[in-house]
Amino acid sequence: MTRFFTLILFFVCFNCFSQNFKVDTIHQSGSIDKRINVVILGDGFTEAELPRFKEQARLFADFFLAYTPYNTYRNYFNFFSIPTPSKESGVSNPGTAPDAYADQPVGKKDTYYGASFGESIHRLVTVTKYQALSNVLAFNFPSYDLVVLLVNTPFYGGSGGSIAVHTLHSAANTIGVHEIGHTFSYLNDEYWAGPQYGWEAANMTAESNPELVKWKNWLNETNIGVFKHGEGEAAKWFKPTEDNCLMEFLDKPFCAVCKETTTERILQVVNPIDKMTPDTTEESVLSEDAKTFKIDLVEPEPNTLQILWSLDGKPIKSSGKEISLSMADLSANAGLLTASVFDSTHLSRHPYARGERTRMAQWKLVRSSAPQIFKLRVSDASICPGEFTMLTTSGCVGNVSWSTGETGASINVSPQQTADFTATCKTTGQPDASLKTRINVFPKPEATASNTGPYFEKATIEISASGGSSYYWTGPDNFLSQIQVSLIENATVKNSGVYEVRVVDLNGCADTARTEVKVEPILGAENPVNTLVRVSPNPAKGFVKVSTAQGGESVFTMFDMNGRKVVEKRFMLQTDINVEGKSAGLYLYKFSNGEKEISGKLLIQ
Amino acid sequence: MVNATVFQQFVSGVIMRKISFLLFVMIGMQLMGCKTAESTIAIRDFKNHDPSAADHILFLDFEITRRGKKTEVVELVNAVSGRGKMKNLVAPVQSPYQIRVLPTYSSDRPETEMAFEHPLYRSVEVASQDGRLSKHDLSATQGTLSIRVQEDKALEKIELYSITPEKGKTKIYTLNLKQ
Ligand SMILES: [Zn+2]
Repeated sequence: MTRFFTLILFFVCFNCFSQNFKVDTIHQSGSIDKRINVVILGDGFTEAELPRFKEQARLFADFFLAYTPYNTYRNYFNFFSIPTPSKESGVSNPGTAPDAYADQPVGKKDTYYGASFGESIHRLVTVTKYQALSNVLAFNFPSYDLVVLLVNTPFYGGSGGSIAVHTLHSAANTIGVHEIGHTFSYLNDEYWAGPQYGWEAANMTAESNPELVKWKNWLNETNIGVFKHGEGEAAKWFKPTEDNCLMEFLDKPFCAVCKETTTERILQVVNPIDKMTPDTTEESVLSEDAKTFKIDLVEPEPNTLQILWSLDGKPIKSSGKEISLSMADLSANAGLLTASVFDSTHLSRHPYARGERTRMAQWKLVRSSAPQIFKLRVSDASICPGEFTMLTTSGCVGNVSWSTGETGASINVSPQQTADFTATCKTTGQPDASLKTRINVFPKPEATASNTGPYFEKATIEISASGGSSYYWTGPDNFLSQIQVSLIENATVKNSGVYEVRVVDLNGCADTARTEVKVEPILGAENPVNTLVRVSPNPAKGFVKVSTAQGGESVFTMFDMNGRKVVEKRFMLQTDINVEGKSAGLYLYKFSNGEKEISGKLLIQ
Repeated sequence: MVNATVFQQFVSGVIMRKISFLLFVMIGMQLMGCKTAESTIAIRDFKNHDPSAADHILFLDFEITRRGKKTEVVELVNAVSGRGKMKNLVAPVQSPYQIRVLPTYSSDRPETEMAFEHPLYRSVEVASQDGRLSKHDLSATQGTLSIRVQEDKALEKIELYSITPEKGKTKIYTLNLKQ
């Protein structure tokens, strides 16, 4: 029979927000969920002393990360500090214990976590305000893995348990490392603490047979053996070394067995495979283009990680953080790519390490458009006459033959007009598979080229082309032009010659055409004093004066280059002829007076 | 003036919410020989509870007091919530004096007992400047048990058991959790 009394407590929390503090990052090697996160707290540091706390926290982190074997695995840890200001500086000291330091001031200090030296065992420094501890951790770093609390006093002391506590005394930081050896690596003490502390641990055993003892792989190392803990009840228990381990004496390093245990524990908690690219939660589709698979690793120093890539259990690459695969690497429609990572560190001689802690990244692979099918691909489905295109088959286990009579996985074809091609896959034991593709051949563009000549010098040459959308002219005297109707002003005889135009249509198909341009020189000094007629100026612009010394009626006739008569004028001795409105170019003229007749060229500008 | 009123409403809202932070602590009195205490707390009443967070870690502080020779009286004195997930790096406890914490779930999630050092029967390790270490047993009449549990939507209750060589394993507290 049970009776309950309910006590209802009202908590009014006015200062909840004061529980939030800035978390300082001392050493961050990776994300919180993938590393061992050590949070360092401080007690007895006033607001003004917080910079000193941060410095001390950094010093402890440096000390820890330089301690073997943590130094090898510094990338497996993150260190943070949370500065909380205490009202008073220092630590409470009841001064009541027999081992109290004579020179240490006695008194109570109002500090954040209420750290105090012990009442009955002086060096036992512990916190007293557990709620403050829970609050600071819950508000600021709930997912911590290990907590170390530094107490602001130069006097030696500390304690273990759920958090490691120690003072700023220069020899006190190994208390923290020793206590973490208990809490993190489950190491037992190597000093004899009494029969109630005898239990099987990595560094303690009741097995004394060197063939069977759990650290038998280390027995050939200096200082390592099977050592009795003592006489009497202690004789029942054995340890791997004597006077040579941090778990026995705080001024010694970890023995080889404790280093191995610590290393194995770190590797149990932290997976050296930090990231897998691409994501392994979905199938990776492999096509004909290579796809890269990559692992990011948390590397020990020195890097003892061994990587093995295998496909469907078959090793394909024995190093490197990435690999590229394409459809061709798959022997079936699906596959399994595995990257196995094993830390071959000499810190551990654990016999089953490879089997127990080889970490794996796995990707499920599938062929694109699985199941496997006979496929035909063309490099260019539409071509211009004269061009070629490549036809390629894939997925044929047997032999491929073509409608052209050729064989092989791919052929080049150059049809002059649209045509069909067929590839046939012949595999023994299977029906033939045929695939047809049509290659579309564009019509060939019809290029034309012409000019408006022949020309005399100083005339403007006009060349024109047709048949496409783009025109590329080349010609004498380094002529280049991309204009369909191109003009060359002030022509000289050097502009004479064959002009070629490459005409490209909207399909990208091209044709070429040519035209020959003739430029003739103008004959100079055509009007000597005693000649029949004088025509000037020549070249003329606007008007031209025609004069003769012959009496009687004269006739002046002008023809264009096509032979059409454009001017006919009868006059006595001299006349002005209006040529304004006449197109520029070369004209022929004829002068006659009675029986006398002469012809010449007149250039109108 | 409008701003001042809004501010007052805000402040009283904060106070009301904090007042709703109730700890129903049921102390099993020695009356009629009843020993097991029980209380109920809603997850939203944990300090610092962030309903928008995907994962919560529950921090609980229990004060354990020895009454007479045999009775351990438990009181929940602090309940705080933090965002995130914890790795299960539980420190080993080998002492014959322990507190076992058993979270129970309404789902089929396996129930795993967690061992903690008994705050009334502590075994402490004492270091010396010369590098020597020693172990001492300390007993107390009052101590704090601080535990950290990953919250689970199916987490129904957390039971505390005291283990001592004298009494064996005794349930000393049940904390019911309301989602
Ligand atoms: Zn120890």
